[in-house]
Parts: sequence; C-alpha cells; structure tokens
Amino acid sequence: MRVNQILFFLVLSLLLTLGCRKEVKRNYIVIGSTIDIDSFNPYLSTSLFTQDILDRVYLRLAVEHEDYRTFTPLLAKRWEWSKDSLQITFYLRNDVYWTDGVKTTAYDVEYSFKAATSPELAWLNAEDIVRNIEDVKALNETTLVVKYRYVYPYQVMDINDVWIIPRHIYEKIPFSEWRKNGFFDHNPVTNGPYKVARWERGQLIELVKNERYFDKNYPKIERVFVKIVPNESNLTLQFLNGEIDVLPSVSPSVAEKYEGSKNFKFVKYPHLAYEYIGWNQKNPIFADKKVRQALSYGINVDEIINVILKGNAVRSTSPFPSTFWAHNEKLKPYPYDIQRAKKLLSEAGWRDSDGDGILDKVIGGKKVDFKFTLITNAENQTRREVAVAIQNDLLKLGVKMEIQLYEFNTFMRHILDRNFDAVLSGWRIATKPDLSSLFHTEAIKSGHNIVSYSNPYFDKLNDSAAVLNNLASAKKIWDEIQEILYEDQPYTFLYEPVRINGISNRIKIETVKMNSISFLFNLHEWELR
Amino acid sequence: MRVILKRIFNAIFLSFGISAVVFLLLRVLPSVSFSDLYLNPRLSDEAITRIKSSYGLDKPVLVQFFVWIKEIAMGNFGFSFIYRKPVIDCIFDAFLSTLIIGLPALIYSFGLGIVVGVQLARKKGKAIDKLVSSFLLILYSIPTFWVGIIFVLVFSNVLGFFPPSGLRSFNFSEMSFLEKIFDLFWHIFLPSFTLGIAPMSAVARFVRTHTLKVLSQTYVKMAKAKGLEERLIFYRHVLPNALLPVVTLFGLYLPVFLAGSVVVEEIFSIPGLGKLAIDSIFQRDYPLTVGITLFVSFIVILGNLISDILYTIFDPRIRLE
Repeated sequence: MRVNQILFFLVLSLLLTLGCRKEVKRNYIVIGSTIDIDSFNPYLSTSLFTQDILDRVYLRLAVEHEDYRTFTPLLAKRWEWSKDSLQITFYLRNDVYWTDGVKTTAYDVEYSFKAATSPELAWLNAEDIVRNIEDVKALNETTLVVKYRYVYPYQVMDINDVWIIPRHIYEKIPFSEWRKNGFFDHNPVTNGPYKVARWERGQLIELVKNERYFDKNYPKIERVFVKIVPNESNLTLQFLNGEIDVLPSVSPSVAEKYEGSKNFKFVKYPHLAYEYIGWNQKNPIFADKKVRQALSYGINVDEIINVILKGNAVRSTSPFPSTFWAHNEKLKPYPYDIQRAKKLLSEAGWRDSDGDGILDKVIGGKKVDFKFTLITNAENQTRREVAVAIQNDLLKLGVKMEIQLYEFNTFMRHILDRNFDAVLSGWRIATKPDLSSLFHTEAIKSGHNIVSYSNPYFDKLNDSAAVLNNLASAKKIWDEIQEILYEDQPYTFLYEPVRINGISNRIKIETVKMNSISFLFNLHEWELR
Repeated sequence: MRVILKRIFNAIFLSFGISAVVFLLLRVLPSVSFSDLYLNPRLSDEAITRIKSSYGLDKPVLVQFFVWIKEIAMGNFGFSFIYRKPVIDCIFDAFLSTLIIGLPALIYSFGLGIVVGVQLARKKGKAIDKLVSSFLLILYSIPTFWVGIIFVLVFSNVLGFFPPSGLRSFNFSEMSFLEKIFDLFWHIFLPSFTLGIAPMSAVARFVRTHTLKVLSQTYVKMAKAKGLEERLIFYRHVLPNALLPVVTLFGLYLPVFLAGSVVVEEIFSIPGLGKLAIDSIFQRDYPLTVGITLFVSFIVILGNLISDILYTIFDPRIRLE
C-alpha cells in the first residue's frame, strides 16, 4: 500500500514537472562542439575552433576568401599600395564601435600590431609578421599605414592575420601579464556582428546580435549558442534529435548512415590538410630513395579511402593540397603496384635470403630484417585503422611493421626527439606556400623536418620560390619542387581528408557558406527557415 | 578529539606527499606541454621557448618544485595554464558541479541500496529475491560509460523526459527561483542516476549478505524463541547490527561521489572535477593536475577518517585510538 502511494506521487510529480516545462520559441541556433574555446583573448588561443568563434565577434581589416588570394573590405573600406609596393595604406570605416561604445580606430590596429609582435606575449603566429612587417602606424583615426621590409606576395594576408583588439581595454595590462590573466575572458569587448553574452566554461557560449554592428542588416539569426558536449556519441545523438543544429566534423561512418535524412544535411568540403607517413631517414632502412618509393607503391591508399573513410578523402600527391593554388596538378598519385614495389626493393638490395617471409639485407656487415615501428597518436581512431591497413599491405611485400600508439603529448615528444622509425600523422597547411620548415636541411635540427630529409637542390629552389612576388612564376618553381618531393618521397602522401559538417534543415542551406577557412565562414548571413 | 585532529593533520601531510610524487613524476614523463604549439610548422623553437618560459617551465625541476611549494603556502596551489587563474579557484568551481551530481547520487545509492538490500534479505530464497539479486549483479557489472549513453538514448532522445547534457537550460537566467530549482533537478537526474547505479547495487548486495549473516546469529534465534514479534526483532535487533559494515562502505564510496567521475562528467558534459582532471592531464597543465591530485587524495583520506569516526558512533565497542 505504502509503496503504491509513493509510486503514485512519484509519477504525479514527474508528470507535473514535465508539464510545466516552458517551451522556448526557437529563434536561435545551437552549434555543437566537443571542445570549448581557449580564451576570448585572440592572442592566447591555439585551437582552430577558438578561431572559428572569435572571427564571429572580432572584425579583421578584410575578409579572406577561400582561394586565400582574394580579400574584400571589412573594417578597412579600401586600401592603396605605394608605388614601390613596400607600403599599404588602409582606410578604415568610420562607423565601427566596440561593444562598450568606444569607436574602433586605426590606433587600435596599431596597438594590436604591437601586441602581435611583442616578444613577451610570444603569440603563436607572430613569426611571419615579425619577419615581414616593419611597422604599422596610425596617421589618424581612419588611416593606417603598413610598412613592409620587402615586397612579397602575401602582404595583405600577413597584416590581416593580426587580430584587432580594443586598445582601451587591453592597454590596462602589460603584455607580459597576459598569459596569466583571465581578465580578458570576462565580458570581452568586441566589434563583430555578434557579441558575447555568456561564456560558461565547458558548458556553453552564447552569442547575441551586436546592436552596434555597422551593417544593420546582419546578423540575420540574432542568437547563437555553442553547446559543449565532450562525449561524441551524446553530441551526435543531440544532433540527430534536433537539439543541436550544427555539428562540426562528423565522422564518415555517421554521415554515411544518416545521409538522406529530411531533418538535416551534411556539407562536405576539402580541408586544407593531408595525412602522411614520414620515413625517418636517420634509420638506415629509409635512407634509400628506392625503398621509400617501393613503400609508396606498396600501400593501397585507394582502398583505405574507400573502406575506412567511406570515400571522404582525395589522394594526396604533394605537401600542397589539391585545392591550393600552388598545387601541381600534373602529379598522379603513386598507384598500388606490388610488383613494382618488390622490384624496387630488390634493386635496393632487399631480398628474403633466409626464407622467413621477411626481407633482409646486409647493412654494415650485419644482416638486418626489414622491420620497423610506425607510431601514431592513440586518440585518432581513423589513424589507428589506417595503420592496421598499412601493416597488412606491407606484409605482402615482406616488410614487417609494428604499430605503437602514444597519447598525444607523448607522441609529440617522440616526434620532436626524432625518436621513431616511421610516423603516421597529418599537417594542416599554412595558407602560404613555404616548405622550408618541413623539408629544408636547416630544419632537421630544430624545425619540423622530422624525417631528416636533405636535398640541396630542393633547399635552393624553396628559398627562391618563397619570396618570389610574381605568383605565376613562383608557381612554376613550386611545381618543380613538388616534382622533387614526389620523386624523393620523404613522406608517403596518403590523402587529404574531406571535412563533413552536419547542418539542420531549420537553417536555409542556400545562405550557408562553409569552407576551409571556417565552418562558420558567413554565420552572420545565415537565415532560419 | 585529539585523535581526530591528529588524523586530519596526517591526512594533510599524506596528500601533500602524494602530490609531490605526482608533481615530480609528471615532469620526468617523456612528453611535452603545449603540444598543440608544435603542430604549427611555422613556429620557431625560439618562440616555443619564449612561451614556455612565460609559464616558468624552462626552470630546473627543483626550482619549479619550490615555486610550487611557495604557491601552496600562499593558498593558490599554483596557477593553471589553461584557465589562467589560480588552481584553487578552478578546483572550487569544478567541485561545486561535482557535488551537485555527487550528493544526490550518494543519498539515493545508499538510501535505495539499504532499503532494497534489507527487503531482499527478508524475502530470502523467494523468486523476487533471486530475480532482483541477479539484476543487481548485472547493474553492478555493466560499465558506466555504456549505461550513461543508453540512458541518454532512452530517456532523452527517445522519450524526451530529460535533457541529454549540461547542468542548466539556455534560459536559466530568465527563470524564477522555483523554475531554477526545478531546472537544476531536471538536469542532474540522469547523471546522478548513472553515477549512483553501480554503488547502489553494491550497497544492496552488501546489505543483503550482512543482514542474512546477522539473521543466522544465535541471539536472533533466542529472540524468536522468546516469542518476540518478528518486526521488532528485525528492526530493533537485526538491522542496527547488519548496517554497521555499511559505514565502511560509505567511507570507501565517498570519493566516488565527491572526487568526480571522469566517465559520467564526460558523457553528460558536467564541468566537474573528473572532467577538469582529464583536461589538465591531456593538456599537461601540471599545476592543475597536481592540485587536483592533492585535493582528491585529501578527500579519499578524509572519507576513511569519516567512516572511522562513524564507526565509533554506531559501535560503542570501538574507540579511535
């Protein structure tokens, strides 16, 4: 009897509570994410996702477009080049205000440049700007002069990389204190189409329409939530359920399964990134070019793309992704050809002399088996699967590969110490073509030439191409450089992943532009159905 | 009282010792902090060194250790790299979220566990006992991450009864006080329930076994022979003795609820201690990792102390000496 009473009250209260839940009118959208942003101080952020969000609340001088060469006016109405091209004068809008009512002026930009290049602050992306830009000076509130050290193709891009922050706020704290100060994260003062209404760490970010934004027509959607759910399954469930409207970086298997749903769509576009296997040439096995070529012939990348990535990737042939302007289209991916691979290996002196199924060779008077360990980071499910596929492919050549998975920080330590035989990893490419940090001889000791590749001819060509101002003639040199890398195979270039984002049909898909710059590229122009 | 003070004093020293070991271990591990910096191929070594030195990571380990001790003395417990505020503030915020989930879970798992356990003992051998006992064993054995995501699927995705994640609704700030309370309970139901399931079944099975043990004691038979009423025997003579060992279990399980569950907090997006610990470890935020270790080990030791104290209260034969 008593139990029944308790049950009755429980059910009653449950119904009551469910009944008095207020249904909020959904004039907002929810963007899902497994990670939170680092900071609202743009100079302290490291993640791409943070950049995606910050670009919605801070204005840059110009809008960079998908081809990474076109810039259209934003904070700057227009800009003029000096005769010798060493100087650009930017004319700023007169009607842009920070969210606290103070006007955004050229002095803010001048101060931001100081921040960007400050050694005490040590901003992540400062290198190019420090090297290439001599000075930024505000002549008056709306006129800004940028002086360059020399003429090169990416002058607008470099100054546009500088985040513009409110001087009157940031000035209060010296650069050296920034990294230790959470001050900037409370009520950030911004000037973009959206402003920050709330940031609950690890929970949600609320962006609302900035009433002071200079273009009164935008943003169309006045309220945007970023909901942070660390668990990927839960996040995906919420997207399928309609609780979340935008789901970035959907896994290929999820996209395949729910393709054709009437509640949401998947938007796919190439990501400016590629996956590769780096062959550490400090290991005598990989010092021979023929061996590296053989391994590239012996890996069935097409099958990896079809089976593991469900077709959501393109074959990669060079360190410049296929959508990038400097990419050499003439290069065809290494075909899967076991016979050719075997032939190359035997030319390089590898044969199975003891009949154990594993190739061997006498190196330095000692017989060594063709055995090595491939390392990759354990968190990346796709890489784990790809590693196993490669293991199987190579075994058919008589090459024994072990797989070692490391947690990310430990993985990085092994790479930095060059303490590996082969590595399965990926690079996100910078928007300027320069390969010196990856393959230049000088980068072996301290840079990112983790495979210790060295080719003097490559070094010479790369140095000349990187500063060439005429992009058409630079392209010719880049093409030749890519041919050298294609021949030398310091990496086996695997594939360029395609990014898949889910988007709810509540949002008018025709108003949405997602691209490799950001999946929220034109968030302020999105409209609800 | 003096004994208790002494134990607390010991607890502080012990947890400090543990965190000192963790502090030193973290720094000899072959890994890097700020590993995402290294992903940028254009960043020079010089820039990386500059960033590291701004966090004091370029100094010798021993110097870093003394700086850390100084920070503890100042009550800051160091400074978190990723949150840019004193570690103690991060821990405090996270601990609140953990408590919001943990306390209800603690109450229901022990409350329900005891009730179920006792009832099962009374119905020993009957079909219901066998059924529920095996069900409890299943509950105890299935992993939390699976239960959690199944709950989200069933109660939130299919039935729509509860929110799938988070601690508050979007419009929390616009609610009235009562609505806020309700909103909070509505949000913590699933995570609390998930968190308490395994302990609840453990407690129930534990209580059942111990009640049966006590029921077979001679003094119970004696009472029965004297013709005492069954209910009276059970509630006055059997139960107090049967529940005594639960106190030990309470001390053991306290850290499960108060130290934050990595799994539950990750699934339901609760910004608690478990999530904080994982984030700090993955991002090599040394001060935060060590601070959390200090805090959690203190809670574990405290849990033991509490169960010892409770023992003396419930069992007059035992003294803290």
